[in-house]
Formats: sequence, C-alpha cells, structure tokens
Amino acid sequence: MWIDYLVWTVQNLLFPVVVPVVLLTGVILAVWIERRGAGFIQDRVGPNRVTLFGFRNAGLMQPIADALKLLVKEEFIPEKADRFLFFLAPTLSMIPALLTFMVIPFGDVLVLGKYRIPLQVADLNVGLLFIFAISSLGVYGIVLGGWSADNKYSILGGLRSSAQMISYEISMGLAIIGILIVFESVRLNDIVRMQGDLLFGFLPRWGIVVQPLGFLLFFVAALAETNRIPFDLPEAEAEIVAGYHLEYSSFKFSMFFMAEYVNMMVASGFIVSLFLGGWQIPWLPTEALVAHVGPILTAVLQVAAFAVKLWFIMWVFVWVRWTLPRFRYDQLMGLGWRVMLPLALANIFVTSVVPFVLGVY
Amino acid sequence: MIKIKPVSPPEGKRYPISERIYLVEIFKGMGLTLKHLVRNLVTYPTKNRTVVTIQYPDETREYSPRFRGRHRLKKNPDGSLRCVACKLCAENCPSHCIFIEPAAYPDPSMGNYPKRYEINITRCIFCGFCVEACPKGAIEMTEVSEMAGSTRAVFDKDFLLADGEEPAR
Amino acid sequence: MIQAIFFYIFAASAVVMALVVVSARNPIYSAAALIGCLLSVACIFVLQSAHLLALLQVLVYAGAIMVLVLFVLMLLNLSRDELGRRRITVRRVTGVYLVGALVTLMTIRFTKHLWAPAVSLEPGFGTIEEVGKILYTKYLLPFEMVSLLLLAAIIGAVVLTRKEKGDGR
Ligand code: SF4
Ligand code: SF4
Repeated sequence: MWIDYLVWTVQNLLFPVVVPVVLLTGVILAVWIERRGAGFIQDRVGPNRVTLFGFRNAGLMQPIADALKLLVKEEFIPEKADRFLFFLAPTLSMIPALLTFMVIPFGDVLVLGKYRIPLQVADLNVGLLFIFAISSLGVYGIVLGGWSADNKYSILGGLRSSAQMISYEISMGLAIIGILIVFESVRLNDIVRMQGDLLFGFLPRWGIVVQPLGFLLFFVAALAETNRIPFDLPEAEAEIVAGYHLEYSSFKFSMFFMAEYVNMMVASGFIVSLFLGGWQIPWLPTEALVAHVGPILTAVLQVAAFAVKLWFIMWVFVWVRWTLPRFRYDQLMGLGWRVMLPLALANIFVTSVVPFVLGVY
Repeated sequence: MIKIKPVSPPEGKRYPISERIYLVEIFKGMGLTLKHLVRNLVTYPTKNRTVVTIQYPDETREYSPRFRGRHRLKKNPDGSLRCVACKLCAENCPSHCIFIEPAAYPDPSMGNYPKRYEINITRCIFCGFCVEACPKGAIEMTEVSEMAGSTRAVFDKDFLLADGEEPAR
Repeated sequence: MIQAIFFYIFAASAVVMALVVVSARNPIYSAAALIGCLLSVACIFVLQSAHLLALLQVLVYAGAIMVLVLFVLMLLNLSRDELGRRRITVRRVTGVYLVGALVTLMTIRFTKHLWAPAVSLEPGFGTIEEVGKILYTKYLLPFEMVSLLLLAAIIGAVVLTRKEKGDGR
C-alpha cells in the first residue's frame, strides 16, 4: 500500500531531515531575537537594515547576511595548530547539538486511522538519559577546539568549559530526578502526557508547578551548559578574548556559533518538555481536541504550543543574558558545588518524602 | 536620575539575606530590563521614541551652530572673493594643510586674490584656527560632515566656493 | 543482517580506536580516541538491546570521566620533547605478546559460540525498569556495598586534597 510507504517515509526519512533543518533555520530567528532584543533592552534599535528584494524586514535577514559574510571570509589556521583536531572540533560541537533534539516530542502521537505517527524523531524508552548522554558530548568540541588552536586563551577557555560542564551536569542531573520521581518515567512523551493532568482541578500539572526548585536549578544549569551569560566563562571576551573559538574564523567559527544557538534550542525544548508541559495546551487534553477539531489540526495546534513555549524560553535566555553580568570563575564553582548541589539533593529528598507525608502512596 | 547603591555592605555587617541569595536581585534586574524593553517597543512606532539610536543615513543628529564641518570660502555681495590671499590662515594652520598661491588683480587698488586655494582635507584636524585667523572673514566652517570618499581629495578653490554665495546658516 | 553489518562497523571502529589509544604519541589524541572507542562500544551495547547500559557508558565515561582526563592532560599540556621518542622496550614487547596471547585465547574460547542460535530476550530487557528491579532485589547487597566503597573513596579524596589549617587558606 502506498500509504504505508508514505507513513514510513515521513517517520523514518522526513523527520530526521526536517528537524535538523528546522533547527538550523531556527538559528536565524534566535539570532534575530537575541540582537533585536538586546537592542531594545539597551535603548537601541538593533540591526534592522538588511533588505530582501528591497524590503526592510526588521532585520530578520541580518543573520543570513552575517552567515554569508562568514562563509566568504578568509579561513585562518594558526601555524602550530593541531590541524586534525582543529578541523574536527566545530563538527564535534555541532553534531551532539543536532542529535539531542531527536528525542524531544513536539506533539502528541498523531493517530490517523490505523496509523500512529509519533511527532518526534525517535521515541526512545530512555529519552531523558539520551539527551543527557549526548549533550554531555558537546563539550568535546569546545575542549578540543580550545586545545588544538595552540593559543593560551583558547586553552583557558577549553579548561574552563570542561570544569564548568562537569560541575553543572551533576546539578542538572540531580535536578531532574525530582521530575522522574513525580512523573515516574524516563520516556519524554510520557512525561509530557502526564503534565496534561490537572492539580486540584484547575492547575495544570506542569513540572514547574510540582517542582519549582527543580525548575530553577535546571534552568540555571542549562544556562551553564549552553555557555550563556552569566556562565559564558569559556568565551569570556573580556578576560580570555574569545576563549575556545578565538582562533576560528570563517565557516568553522559559524559552526561554533550555530552550535551555541542550536544548543540553546535543545535546552529550551528540554525545559519545555520537562517543566512547561511540552506540547500540552493547558486545559485542552489531546482527546478533547481530537474530538472537536480533528487529529491534524490538533497536531498543528500542539506543535504550535510547543514552539511558542520553546521560543518563550529562548527569549528568557536572551533576557537573562542582557541583564546579568558574568560570574567570576570561583563564584561559578562556588555556586555549582556549594549551592546548587546541596539544593538539588534537598530537592530530591523533599520530593521523595512529601508524598509519604501527604499519604499519596 | 541614576540611583547609586553602595557596593560593599556597611562595616562589620553582611549583606541582607535577600541580596545574598541573588535571586531577588536577579528578578529585580530582569524587571528593569523588561521595563526598558517594553517601553522601547511600545514607543517605537510612535513619534516620541525612547530608543536613543539615530538611524544615521535616514536621520541625522542636530548639529550645534558652532559645529566645525567642511570649510567654505565666502564671497562678497558683488560676487568677488572675500579672500585677499594674506596667508594668515595657512600660517596658523597647525597641520599645514592650506596651500595658497596669491595673485594680483589687474586693478592694483583691488589688491590680491588667491589663484589657488587648496585645503588638503585628509590632513585637516578641523580645529577652526584658519577661521579664527582670517582678518576678512573669508573662510568659515559649515555643518557638512559627510566627506567620505575613495580618493585622497584636496579641496580646491572651486569646490570650496561651490556653496559660497550665501552663508549656509 | 543490518544488525550484523552495524556490529562489524562499530566493532572495527572500537578496535581501531583502541589501537590509536595505545599507539598515539600525543596523549590528547589517545584521550580523543578513547572517547571514540567508548562510543563505539556504546553503539554495540545498543545493538545488544542494552540501551540503559549504552547511555550510562556515554554519560559517565565518555561524557564525564573523559572530560576530566582531558582537563588534566590540557593542564599539563606536554610538549613534543617532554613526550620523548618512540622506543622499543622490554615492557612494550611483553605487552604486545600478552595482548596477542589474550586475543588467541579469546578466539579459541568464543568461536565455539559463534554459530550458536540467538537467545530471545524477555520483553523489557535492558530498560531502566528491569535493570532497576534487578539491581535493587537480586543484587541489592553488592550494589549498596559498591556505593559505600565509592563514598569512602570520595571522603578519601576530600581528605587528601584538604589543606591543613593555617596552610594559607
Ligand atoms: S581647521 Fe585647522 S587644520 Fe583645518 S585647515 Fe583650518 S587651521 Fe588647518
Ligand atoms: S586668512 Fe582669510 S583672507 Fe587671508 S588667505 Fe586665509 S582665507 Fe584668505
């Protein structure tokens, strides 16, 4: 049956291609939000002049212009650089970023007659761990890139990045254990589906409602993992010039640059799925929607809801960046080990004990 | 008005707890940036924008009347040059960028005039000493600040006279 | 069939990477190759339906421990002279001999099972639920003992790195 093949193609060939393309396109929007947002926060206007066929488009085309500029720039490789790793590093930072998004569901399973199409590239039963495992590999791009350039600032950037990743990955992992306890699953789509329930009859049972501290810790750790201000010490332009990508130019630099934004999108998608109800539209469970507007429109609405939430978190990333100053390195370590880690452990403790006290079990 | 908050706590005291846990202050700061953002976005389409950007080629800054831009040689009401080629401006020019070749009018009562009057604008520092020095008020500085070019232009007499009939302001 | 092809791809890459680990001159390359080797082995785990094991391998070994190893290597940042030249020593020859012996023994031992029929797995094999159940029932005692051991190791590390009082800080 041709329709079988169609469904198979959509699931196995279309999604794995479309999702990375959408992500990379999203970089344009992300950069636009970042630069215009920064502008308006700082009483400026931000880039708004690049035209497309003579039309001003509020600067949306600026990232494309930048990318083209980067592509035609001179490719500079330091004389003493380790060429193999120098070439490998940008790819190493890009691939995990794109891979991680594969397990994030952007809609409920689409049921069309006898076909069930999960709106997610791969519905792994260990989805959550997959994200952790793969995203922890992203640091190698930074570390090896920093080392191979044979520049003291780059090495410092790489060193900072590796120490920072280790410190915050622990808090990040512990922060979501609370979520795992509450939702009793590591399959992301299950976690999202559970968040459609209502608490006390009116409050959506989102992760942020049942795990506020976990959300806070996770968000801070996500900032640190994506090297965003106030945790952008690996590139701290004021101290170590540009850190790990100091010697990179042209296309390789743009790889690092795009990887940062893709990482942000992955982190946002992750936060949305775990704490903000993923594709859930509050108070409108899938069954009700399907009954009223049909399955296709439901899927569209849910993907839209997911996108809205994702871009909201992206905006918060930008917002935080243009509000806070950068940490000093000892403050960063102090926060990670002396504040976040104990808080995360306390959170796990409270989350495990409270249901017993309240008699939920 | 910018309010200034002391950076270090008073002698022998610690910061209040609200500041030590960062969070309250962080949210305050984020509130401030959000306030700016919303204000700027709301007023952006209206007349009284709060963004301070001057979108240059479309808008230009209001220059002060004393702005020292490109030079201009002035003329008398009868159309003759005011400059008498006394070279005082060239003498006073700290960067020696004025070159004057004097010549005499056929009528001796009319004195001299500059046959060539050139300002090497790439060397000029726009100090305005030439204007100060001129006994005849023959040279002045306009508000024109857009002098970018792809050649190292020397502004010659014709160019400097081009908009010289009437004072620009 | 496809599984077998992937198995051989990952197995070959694991072996090649392992060879690079021991033969590379530059420790950074060794570390990078070790990461690749761990990832290949993780892929083989996935092929054996041990998803949890594979992910933990990536998360803990490739993602965390190797980062620390790289951290230390970068901190030392050995130059080419400090690394010394490639020499053939008794130790190396012995090592190669022992590895060869091990490989031969393993080949002899395992070829017997090469054509054995595949064992069918019960549903849920390798999932977090199953692994957790086994870990907390059948292997509870060893599991807790290992965690005690690790705790002791952590405390030991803290004690070792702590400075004496009045030792600067
Ligand atoms: S402005 Fe100053 S530097 Fe320029 S021509 Fe006049 S005297 Fe010379
Ligand atoms: S000082 Fe005045 S009058 Fe004398 S040469 Fe210069 S511009 Fe002419």
